Amino acid sequence: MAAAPDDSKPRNVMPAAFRAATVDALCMVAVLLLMALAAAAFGGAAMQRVVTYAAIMLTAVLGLQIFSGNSGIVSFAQAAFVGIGAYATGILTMPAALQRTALRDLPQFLAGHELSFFAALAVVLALAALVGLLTGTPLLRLTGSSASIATLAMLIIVYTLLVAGREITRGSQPFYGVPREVGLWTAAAVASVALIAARLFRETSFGLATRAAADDERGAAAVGVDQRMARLAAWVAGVIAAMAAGALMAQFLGAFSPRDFYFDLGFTMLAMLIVGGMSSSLGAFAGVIVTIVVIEAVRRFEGGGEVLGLHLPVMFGLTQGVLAIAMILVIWRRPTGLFGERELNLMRMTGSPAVNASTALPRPVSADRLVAEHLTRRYAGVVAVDDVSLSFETDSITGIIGPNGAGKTTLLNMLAGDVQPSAGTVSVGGTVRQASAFRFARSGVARTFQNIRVFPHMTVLENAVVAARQVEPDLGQAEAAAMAELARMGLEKLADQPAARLAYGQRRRLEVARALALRPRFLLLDEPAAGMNAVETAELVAILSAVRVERRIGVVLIEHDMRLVMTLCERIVVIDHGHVIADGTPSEVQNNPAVIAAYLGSRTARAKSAASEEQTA
Amino acid sequence: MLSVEGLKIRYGEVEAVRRVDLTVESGEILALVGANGAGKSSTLGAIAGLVRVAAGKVVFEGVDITGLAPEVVARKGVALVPEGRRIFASLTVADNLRLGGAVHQPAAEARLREEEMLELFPILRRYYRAKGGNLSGGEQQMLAIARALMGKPRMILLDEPSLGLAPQLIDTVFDLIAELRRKGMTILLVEQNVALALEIADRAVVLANGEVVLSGTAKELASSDLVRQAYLGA
Amino acid sequence: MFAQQIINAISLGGVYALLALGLAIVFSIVGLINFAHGELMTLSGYALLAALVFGLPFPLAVLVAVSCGALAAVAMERIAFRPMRGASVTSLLLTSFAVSSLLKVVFQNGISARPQAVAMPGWMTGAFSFGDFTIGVGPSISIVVSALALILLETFLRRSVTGTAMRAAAEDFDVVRLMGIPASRIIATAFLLSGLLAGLAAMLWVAQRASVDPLMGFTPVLKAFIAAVVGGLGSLPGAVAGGFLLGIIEVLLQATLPAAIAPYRDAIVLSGVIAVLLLRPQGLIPAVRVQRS
Repeated sequence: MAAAPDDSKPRNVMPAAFRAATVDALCMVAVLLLMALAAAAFGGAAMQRVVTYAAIMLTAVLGLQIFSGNSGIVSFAQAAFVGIGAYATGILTMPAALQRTALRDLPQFLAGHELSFFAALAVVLALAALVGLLTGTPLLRLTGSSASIATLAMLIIVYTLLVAGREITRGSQPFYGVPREVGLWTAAAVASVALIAARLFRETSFGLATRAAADDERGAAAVGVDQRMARLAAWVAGVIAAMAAGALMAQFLGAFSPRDFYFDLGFTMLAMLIVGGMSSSLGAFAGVIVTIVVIEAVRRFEGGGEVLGLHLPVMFGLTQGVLAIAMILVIWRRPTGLFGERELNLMRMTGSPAVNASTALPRPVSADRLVAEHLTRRYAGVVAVDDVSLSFETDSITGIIGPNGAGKTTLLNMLAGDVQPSAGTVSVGGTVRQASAFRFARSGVARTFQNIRVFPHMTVLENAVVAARQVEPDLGQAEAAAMAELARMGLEKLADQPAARLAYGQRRRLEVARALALRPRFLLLDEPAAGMNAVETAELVAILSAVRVERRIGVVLIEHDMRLVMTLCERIVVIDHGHVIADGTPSEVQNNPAVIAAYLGSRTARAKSAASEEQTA
Repeated sequence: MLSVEGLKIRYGEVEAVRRVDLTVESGEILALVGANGAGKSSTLGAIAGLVRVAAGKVVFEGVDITGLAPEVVARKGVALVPEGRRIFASLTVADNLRLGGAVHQPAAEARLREEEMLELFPILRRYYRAKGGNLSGGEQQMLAIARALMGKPRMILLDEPSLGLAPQLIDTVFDLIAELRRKGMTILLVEQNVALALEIADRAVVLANGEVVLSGTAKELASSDLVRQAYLGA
Repeated sequence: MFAQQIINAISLGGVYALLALGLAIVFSIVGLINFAHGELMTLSGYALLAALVFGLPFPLAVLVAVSCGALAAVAMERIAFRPMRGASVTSLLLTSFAVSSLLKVVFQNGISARPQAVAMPGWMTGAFSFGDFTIGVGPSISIVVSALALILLETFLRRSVTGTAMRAAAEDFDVVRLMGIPASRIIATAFLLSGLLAGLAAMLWVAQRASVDPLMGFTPVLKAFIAAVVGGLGSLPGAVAGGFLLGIIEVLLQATLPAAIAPYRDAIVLSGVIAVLLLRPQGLIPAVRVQRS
């Protein structure tokens, strides 16, 4: 881990993450092409068809992986998009003469195009982008299970449209007469592109943001991630892959009906993805291969099924049954899939140079203010924060203390834009801002959480890169800056580890590093020392003091460790029952009778402090 | 009545409780005090069966209850009033109480018990048909305690009963706890407001970083400077 | 004619409501969207067929069939879902999806892929006149049964201790256990009730079609999922409202749409549903859930 070369801008325009991803993708493409080659050289026509089918399914499953794998939302609609792609390609490439007999009522604008496969594919891809935007937008507002069921509704809608739109699709009757021009190599080529796209998507800003939001929604918003946009991008990419697979499928099958693109296909694709591992392109790739091998084995076994006297209706069901069992076993035994969560990461295995930390120190921030005016927040009859007005400057450290349940975290959440005030405003740098956690993060207010919200399934470096990309358009520089923040927190050696594997204290430091990667003007820390031992706490104090001096940012922290607060902070705000009861230097606050009452307050002490307040008033 | 020996609790890699030993005698209030994150709530959760015990033993009335499911611990006569009250907001006061008395086999007994509770907490009679979520914080705390008492426990665990309550309400709640004590109830009280807890408790145990740092009678601790130091860092 | 359509609409809505309610009960307690709910319905259908073939009198056969649905639901929880307690919502959803596929295969191979005729009593297919109106006996029975089931369930949930505990568990399961109420009892009851409702819905469904096939439960339960989501996932009143809404809209569209557009009915209904979700992402009557930090 040598220091970066003399000039502060990294030479590589392409960040290391993309280099690694490209190597992985090319390796998987090589395996795919080798299999195709083997099938072409040694396999018969039947074998070639199997590999072609596998490549087509791979394309669709990779699309599913791009959306579901990154966002964690199971989509049932993928089969429907394969269907739309297939029908669109069928209509566009069908010989005009045949079309006149098979589709007599086809609307004029659709008739008689007779495109070549690749021309049709181009049209289908453009259509896919449109369909993706149209169907993805409603999904943005839904979360988790509701979103999954909405994709189920989409599957039924598309199926209904395919069956009902007789003039275009021949309804539930077979759609036939599509030229069968797609062979092994075309399918393998399209699948290769999909492999590269899926592997790279993870590393794009959209991919990182989607994964971050799936891991921890609030944590993602706190580092400036606009998860709706990111999720929409993943959805559109998934739809494009599905419709490309559909185009291949149309010309591979030649004839099909809406039933081919309904639940059975959807189930097969989900099983492939789950068996291999939903969260990586490697999982999708391996899952498709394993599943196809299983399906073929089961079919073959059935071919010689006279031994058991199996008949035709059994044959169809058996593959579904075997897939179902495989899926259940994998979910029980290895919930992350046979190939786990990781990508190949060949670069890391060969020990190629990792990311260089940028050596340039972030520029100190200019003077600024974070101002809360008359902030109030009520929850179901309880007033958590009651008319609080405070102002924080850059180049300062303020501690917020107060008894449990006093409203400190609610106040911090409002300062971070994470909670909508019932009344009052928060302004950053003089501009009043509407509550929106990701916009606050992008405009210079970074934060950490009481119960740490790092992204456990992402690497330590990725955790910081998500944040750095929000403020640094240059991807290579964002990566270098993120690495520098990790180094600042002593985490650079762990950059490649998944954050879930970090020890508790390291996770706390990662959360601070991630917040600093946003190059904030204000850093809000919610109990940064909670759960840390004395040594770790001392280290943290040293780091926070140094960071504050280096960058002149404004630090605001909630903390129960009084020793830490008293040594680190130059100003202390005491909150009790949602009110500010004291605001001053540590020594002033320590001797304030109202504070003593709030903390140690017996009923008598409370009575005394109330009396003394009345006297002063 | 209750003894906790060498209790250790882990959340992933964090040791929330390193080693806690304590005993509660029949009919007394033992206050468990300490700063936020000291391990008080985790200790209560472990006794009640909500939190997994990594090591150590919990014995109630001579029976080892370590690691039993919360419903089993409850049926043995230990009731937890959880932090933040956690009353059922969408259920009426009547239904909240009814669930508290669900362990009574004859319904008549539960009804009798409910009548006792309504005597003890007149405010609950007034809001008998109101949804729990519509009560104020103090009323909810009363309901939470009444709900726990419905099961006729021999011991109750109170987790931060003063949390988020206005001062007058805190007094009401603590008067009530004192009243329960007079009636012979055994109480393990977790409270971060030390002075308040020490005023009412017989004995107290101070936790810091998951360990017992001080223990003694409430009087002894009230006059100890160590407590003040632990809290205000002064 | 119009009265007949209204009856049909309410009757179909009732079936959807029963199914959606069963889904919602399980979801509110264990967070599982049970894809295999439809197979419970199918199983009850086959149980009815078997009971009738064995020569049981019709009412007894219905009783046997509905109990089979309930017991199968409890068994399904024990065998497939209990090993996964605490798993993510996605894992649970996918497991139930796989269980559903597996059961379909079992039905197809173990019984038959083709529909089997069920001999319904003659009086059920009749109709009675009411002034100028002719009203089918089947749909009327369906409405009465749905209404009775909903009232009984409501009474159970309101009046019994276990019912009250279930409503409470949807809000805060841990605290229910602190009251000394066993978790396994709550979960088993939830599945039992959902199985009962699926069994009843199956009886009403079979009564109108007089046949059973492996995919019998598939379509109605798909609709029920959507009804449950529109109503508010995990909300019991929401599920009932969503079920009736979906059923009524479906039948009314069926009756009023011009023939050229009629085949598009499902697409129109479901697009409407998605539009509703856009306006109210939490559903018509959102579920109450305690927010814990």
